[in-house]
Amino acid sequence: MNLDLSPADMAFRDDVRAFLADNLPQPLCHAARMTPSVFVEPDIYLEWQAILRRKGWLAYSWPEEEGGTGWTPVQRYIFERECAFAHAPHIAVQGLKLLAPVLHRFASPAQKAFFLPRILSGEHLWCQGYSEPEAGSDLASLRTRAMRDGDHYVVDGTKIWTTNAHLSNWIFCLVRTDASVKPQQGISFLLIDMATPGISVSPIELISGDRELNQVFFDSVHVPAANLVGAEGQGWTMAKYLLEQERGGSCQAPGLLMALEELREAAQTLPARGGGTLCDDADFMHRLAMVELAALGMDMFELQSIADIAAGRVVGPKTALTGLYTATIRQDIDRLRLEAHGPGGLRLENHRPLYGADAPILIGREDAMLAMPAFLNNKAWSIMAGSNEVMRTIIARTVVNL
Amino acid sequence: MDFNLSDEQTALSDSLSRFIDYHYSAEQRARACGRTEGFDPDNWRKLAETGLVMLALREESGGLGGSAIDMMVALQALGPGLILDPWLPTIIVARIIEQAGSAAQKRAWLERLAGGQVLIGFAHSEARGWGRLNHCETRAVPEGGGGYRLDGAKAMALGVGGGSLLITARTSGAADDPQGISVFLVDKAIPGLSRQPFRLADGSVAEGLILTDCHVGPDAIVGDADHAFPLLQRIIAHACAMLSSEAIGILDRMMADTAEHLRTRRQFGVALGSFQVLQHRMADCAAELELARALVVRAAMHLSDPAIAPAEQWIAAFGAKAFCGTAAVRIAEECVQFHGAMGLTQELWVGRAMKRLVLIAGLFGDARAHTEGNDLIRKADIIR
Repeated sequence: MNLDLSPADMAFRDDVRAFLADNLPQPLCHAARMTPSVFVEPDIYLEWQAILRRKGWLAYSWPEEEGGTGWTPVQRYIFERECAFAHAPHIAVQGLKLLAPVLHRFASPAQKAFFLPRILSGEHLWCQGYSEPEAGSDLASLRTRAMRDGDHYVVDGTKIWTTNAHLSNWIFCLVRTDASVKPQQGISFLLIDMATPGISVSPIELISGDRELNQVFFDSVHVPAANLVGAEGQGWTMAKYLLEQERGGSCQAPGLLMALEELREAAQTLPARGGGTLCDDADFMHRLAMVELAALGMDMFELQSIADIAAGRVVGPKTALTGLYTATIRQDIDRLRLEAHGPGGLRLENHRPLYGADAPILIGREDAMLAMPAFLNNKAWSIMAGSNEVMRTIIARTVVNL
Repeated sequence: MDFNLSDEQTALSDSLSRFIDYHYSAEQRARACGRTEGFDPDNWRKLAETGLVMLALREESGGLGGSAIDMMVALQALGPGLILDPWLPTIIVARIIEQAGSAAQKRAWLERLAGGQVLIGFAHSEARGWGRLNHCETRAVPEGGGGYRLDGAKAMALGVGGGSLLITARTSGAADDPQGISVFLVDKAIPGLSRQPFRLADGSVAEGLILTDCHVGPDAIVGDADHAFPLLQRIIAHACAMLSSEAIGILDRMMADTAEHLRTRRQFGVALGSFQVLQHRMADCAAELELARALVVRAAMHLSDPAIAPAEQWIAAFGAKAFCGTAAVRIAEECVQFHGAMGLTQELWVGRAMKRLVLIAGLFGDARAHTEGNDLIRKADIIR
């Protein structure tokens, strides 16, 4: 047993670290740190993506034959880990990491040739149309209908919780093309230009004040049949394929460790109840330490998963735990941070962004302004991509064998 | 990166699992527990003969030079037995003598300790210590001729039944100073030493000590006066990693037993495991156990890695025990709850296991003591 990287991976890590040190603009890092929502603003991620693209690293999770780096799972993991430690902004996952793998595996050569370069260039900004008002955790019950009419599909229905739909020019959707078969079998995967007549986007006001989620309405929207990925009825398989791609290869702990580092650093200067700084509050520091331990445990857990994948071993059902860990630890951190800032954390600033020339007037500490909206936004972690309750049911079945 | 056990480690695990199967049935354990010393000395010799203590000792002192990972593997395998044998005080005492003792002390004790032929108890913790290793109020005042006079009280001496004790005492400084702690090897027959044996949660026996005007000779001190604290930190950190590994071994069996119970026990016409509330609580237990396991592996890897600074190794070990102990108690309470009233009977393994886990969580300090003042995340460490 050892944690050592191979000499080749070590050299790779040094390359990544050197690249980040030389090319990651500090204002972008600051913007990423001061973003209370799950995703950063497009101007931030587009600037970072352009830098990565020039280096040839934007498609770091893509296979080489699709124009990607062809990195091994370990290299991808190292890259994400180093990015997290460097506070790099997240790239736009919808196109690069959620849609692209489906296109790689299931799309026609023509579809690949058209869409993949536009994902890389940032010309197409994608959003994901999965959830519906009546189909959340129970995704297979989705009802947005796509009826074949000649060389078009006519789409009617609605998608909800669509992140950044208002900023996107394309949406990939799971739609029902056949209502007569088992729910999972009647679902297809359709790519839709947001400029198509009949689509409307309405914002959803969130408790944090962030403008991030939307409801998208489809009213007789005519989509070329050429935008169907794979065959009719294959949509559910594709959604599941994507989940399998994600499973086991996660790199969430480093970001959590960095957030904890910042909190421990803040504790050195934040005033504590009863005088002194928060570092003198043994109760708070103990609770912080226990969350730090959970994050360190999760870090090891992810490393083990990557080592398994690298060795060609089948990753076990235990990887279903990472979703639960990410949500729980993330929210523990946010709760602690809110507490750490005391009265200063009670401010809920509705203005965005919280950084740059247009930032709100600073009252007290900059990080205090982040505490409340981040706490509110990050409640999403235990709901999105399979709620904690769905995850627990999966874990009970596959890990505990109940 | 490699998270696999070597062939030797797998063999070690298998042989200790077999030891548990042959020597630790519920009846055998109950019989051993019923003895005055709380364990069966014959059984302990047999366990020692498997090489458990030898594994913990360095090759240059005749040991097998096992790593912290080897010890993790061993204790995890022993866990399900809820073993009563004094492996913990013996390994601690043997390591202290090995790492600080004189050549004569090593010659006199190490081999027989490792073979289970003699037993030396270990006494450090005191009533006001709360698991802080730097706390020591028991005093050792130098006397003419190089001897010392010991006065004070020890809350819990582990390892009962032998003729000697390894006792920490303060040769200088105030109660909580790291500097000034020394270790003494004391004969139990010494005048002025009174011992009160008591049972611990798992049925094993410990002793409270009161030392009044105990005179020991110059050969009683182990290592240099005043400098025992780093030694204690190192050896107790390893002990905490081993205890955490034992807890993981116990918890694995506990989760398996409880899952089996939930699959087979029927109430209201259905298996208990069909209730979602129980499924989700078991899922949370499984999640916590995997984090604890990962931290124990991390601690063992850190303790085995000479490239990591000692202080960071120890923080990883104490941190693992903090998390592991807390998780163990929570999971044990859940599993006992899921067994219903049967979980409260001495007959069922799960209740006995909970008692061992609660004891492990508190030995050498609780979670609060293990995390106090420690910055657990080191950049140099995580960015490795």
